[in-house]
Amino acid sequence: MILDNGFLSPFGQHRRLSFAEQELVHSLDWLISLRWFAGLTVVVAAPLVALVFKVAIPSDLISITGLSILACNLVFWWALRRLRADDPNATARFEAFVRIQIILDWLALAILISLSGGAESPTILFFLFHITIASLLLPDHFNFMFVTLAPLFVAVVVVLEYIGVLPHVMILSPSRHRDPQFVFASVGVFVFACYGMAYCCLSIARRLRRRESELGGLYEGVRDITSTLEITAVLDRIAEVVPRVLGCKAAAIRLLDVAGSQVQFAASSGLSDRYREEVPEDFAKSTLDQDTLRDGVVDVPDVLSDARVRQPELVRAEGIASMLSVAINGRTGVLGVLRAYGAPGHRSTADDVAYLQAVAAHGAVAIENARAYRMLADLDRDKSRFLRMTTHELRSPVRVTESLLQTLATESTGSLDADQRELLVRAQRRLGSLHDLIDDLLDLAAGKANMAPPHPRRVNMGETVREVAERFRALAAGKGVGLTLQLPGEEASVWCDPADLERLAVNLVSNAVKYTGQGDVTVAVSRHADRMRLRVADTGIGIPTSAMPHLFDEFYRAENARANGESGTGLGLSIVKVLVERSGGQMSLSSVEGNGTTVTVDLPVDGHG
Amino acid sequence: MARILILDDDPDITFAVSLILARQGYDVRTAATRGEGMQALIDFRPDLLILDVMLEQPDDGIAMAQELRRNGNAVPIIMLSSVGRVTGMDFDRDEEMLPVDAFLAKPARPDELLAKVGELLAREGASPCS
Repeated sequence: MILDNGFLSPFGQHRRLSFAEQELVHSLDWLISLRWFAGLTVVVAAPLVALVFKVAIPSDLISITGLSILACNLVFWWALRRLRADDPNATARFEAFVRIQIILDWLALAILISLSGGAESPTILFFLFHITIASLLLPDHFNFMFVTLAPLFVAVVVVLEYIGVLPHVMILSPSRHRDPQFVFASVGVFVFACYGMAYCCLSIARRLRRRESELGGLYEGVRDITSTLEITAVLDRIAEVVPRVLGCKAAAIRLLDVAGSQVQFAASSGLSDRYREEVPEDFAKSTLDQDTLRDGVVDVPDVLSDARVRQPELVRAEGIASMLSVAINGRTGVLGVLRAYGAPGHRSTADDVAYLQAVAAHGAVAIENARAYRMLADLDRDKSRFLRMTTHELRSPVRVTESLLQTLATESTGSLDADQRELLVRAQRRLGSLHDLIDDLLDLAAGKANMAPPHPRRVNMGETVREVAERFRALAAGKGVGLTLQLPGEEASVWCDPADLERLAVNLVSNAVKYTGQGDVTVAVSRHADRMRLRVADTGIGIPTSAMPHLFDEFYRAENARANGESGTGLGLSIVKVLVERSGGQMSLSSVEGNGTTVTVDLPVDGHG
Repeated sequence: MARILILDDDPDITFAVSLILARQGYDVRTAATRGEGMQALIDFRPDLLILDVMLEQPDDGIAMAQELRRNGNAVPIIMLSSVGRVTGMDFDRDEEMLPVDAFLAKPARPDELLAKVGELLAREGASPCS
């Protein structure tokens, strides 16, 4: 069975953001928040500095620059919201947005420098500050060529002041902005510092980001993968996790059957329908897959130059430039192949391989769990089916024998002496017990296997319960036990299979009457919110606390029940439990040994159980 | 008339077996538990004991037979068993594994039962009823 999800994932219509993409958006939030602070500082600091340090700086112009920074930030803030709302998947637009912000920031800084002394300005330091912050927040969007813009802007300002185009604001006295040595030294130190800062921050930040992305992705991925026991869902999630964290274009997973030769299941994420239909690889014939199984890892950095890749034009047309495959190894052997597809420009690193193998390892565990679960479910179903078939077979000879004995008992073949009649009565009684046992077993098996599906409909609970209770009236009277019936005044309807309701009522009332030697049995039907409640209370032998945990186990009969002398199969309560569950109801039980037992069953009034 | 004690916790079995034996003329007594059985051995002093493997607890019958032999009681014992219960049981290692004189699988056929009873009683020198 081939199952695939293409662009649709169990998490929604859009592909979930990769870790890197999530970080980008988060960092942009940060940058914009910091800029509010920076802009405000500029606006406030300028007049303050001029006042306190008695420096002749154009604080009005500086404050205006600060206000423009704030105004631009407002535009950025709004733009970020629009971008996120529009299409969270448009990575390219986010990239462009980042670059625009940085460039405008540097422009603003250059203006501030020129307004506060040019080559002599202490605010040159803020450039370094900005480069540090920006490369820590956005390590994946910086490179040294981009960083060069910073010293370029500063150099332009310094040169323009040097040649006199830009007015110089005097900070130092005498002013050094025309001193070539000073200018070179100042700019030189700045350039060196720029690159130095950028290098340090980018290296550290990239490594941290990578690690964070791996761990975060692995955590999320493993959590997703192991959160389901359904095999097809497990495969879908494994295929989903890979592109989300590796940042690759697509992924596919193929699972072999238990014998290890045929592909049993497949799932993929990020591949188009066309690709999936037209490039179906026959596992046995696929050299790529066979190599992966044999070697554990196969890296195809360029699909066009590797002969093992079938239909390379189609592969290229899909936008795939490279493939990385790892074998999925379970405890019992190789389970299948996991493949990551890279877009052009994506290079697989050793980290990628390690990561893919980690996903495969966790995936293997999840797959084996899912298989075990399915096997258990199948076994349980087989067992129930077997039980059902067997009991059907058992019924026939029992019925026939009952009929034969009945013929003897009616003396239609001749009269019986006392001993003969006694033997016959005992035989019939034992046969009757066998008959009941088989019926109970059949009920139990049917309930569990869901072979005879319930046909729920509106059932008059009051009527059903009344009818059942009446059946036991004679028996109760014969024992000297009172039987009280309490029915509600209005119509008491529930939503369930009528045979189920009858059966569970019979079991409960039968138990109550059977295990009560003196006193009363009360059968009450009442309404509680959206439930109808059946309450069967008796003043009988009760249930010892030691028996409580086993009460719903099949064939369990508490010690005092056995000693009571009444026959019983021990299946009654387990059957009631099955019936209540499949009717969408709840049951509860309370008992005191020697005092009596009360069983309460709540069933839904309408179809919404 | 030879006395026979039947020890089995199933009342229908004791009814049927005692019916068969009584009709043959044997003096029959029944007991349902090990305790009752031991008491009956003292009171009734049967010439033959028909014992079920399972009384209240599984293997009660075997244990009881072993106890009797340990105490020097040599009464002939016919053991009634459901097939499959003979094997796979734990025995006292220092005793005869199965200290009974005959095994009959349940349900015991009346003619087989009577034949076995007769055979064992004859061996003991008591008078069987034919």
